[in-house]
Amino acid sequence: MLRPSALRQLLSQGTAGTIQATILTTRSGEYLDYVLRNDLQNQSVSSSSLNQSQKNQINVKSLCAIICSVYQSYQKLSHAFADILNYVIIDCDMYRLAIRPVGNHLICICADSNTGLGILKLKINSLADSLSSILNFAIYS
Amino acid sequence: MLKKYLTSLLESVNGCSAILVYDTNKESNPIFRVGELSENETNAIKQNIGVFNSSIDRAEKLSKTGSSKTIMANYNNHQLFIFSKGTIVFIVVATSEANTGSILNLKTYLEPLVGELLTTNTLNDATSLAGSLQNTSMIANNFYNNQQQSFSQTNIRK
Repeated sequence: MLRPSALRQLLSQGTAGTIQATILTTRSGEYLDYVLRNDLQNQSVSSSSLNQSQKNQINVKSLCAIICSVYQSYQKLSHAFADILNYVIIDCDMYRLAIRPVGNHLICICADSNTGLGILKLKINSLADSLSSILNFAIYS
Repeated sequence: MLKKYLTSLLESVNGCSAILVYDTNKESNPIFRVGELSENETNAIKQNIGVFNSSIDRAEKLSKTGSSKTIMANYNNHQLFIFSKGTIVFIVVATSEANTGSILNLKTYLEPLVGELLTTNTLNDATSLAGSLQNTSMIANNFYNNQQQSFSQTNIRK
């Protein structure tokens, strides 16, 4: 069974340091849950922060769509290579995104552009391992 | 000369299988291809070059400026690196044992090539354009000559 409170806790644990957001989506691009670092810092609810959270939600929705389409593109290649895709890292000028499948879902870490790739890889792998127990799904291996 | 340079770059990293250079405007064939790839892998990359381009476009939506972007895909037995700058795309295929950091370091050596590649491409375009213009002018000349001949023949008949 899915436990939303435990899920949120785990995602917020991963969102620390230079990591800006952690997003859990389905493979078709609908987000299940997300934690932003700004939300963690501003816990008090006011009208302005509500507006901000609505804006963030829009950003997360578009981000989810981009993540899923990029991931699915590289998933197609894995058939051709006769290989299994572990994770994808996208390095832009603003963000570094790490995407990894967890069962039927995708987990994405959105970090600053100066975050080390090694720490990103470690975080996404450990988060996927912990999430698999919460989501009660076996990781594709 | 460029091919030699790319080969030396390829040999400088252990486990690096191939470097392919594509122009996003011309999707069909790579401008340069260095290293050995199996037929399956070559076909897979050739068929999915559109996939790379679309994923680069999507990554572009995440970045404010049109600066260079890198996409890394890690498979069980392969590593795929895509460096994009402008219309030129470098695809580096490596084994899973290859050092990721040293392949990412190749980017600093590959990026200066972009300017040169673009100029050679435009030169090729110019020569092909000149060739096509020459062809069309020859066709036009032939057409004009034929027209003149037929005109003179009708005049003689009259």
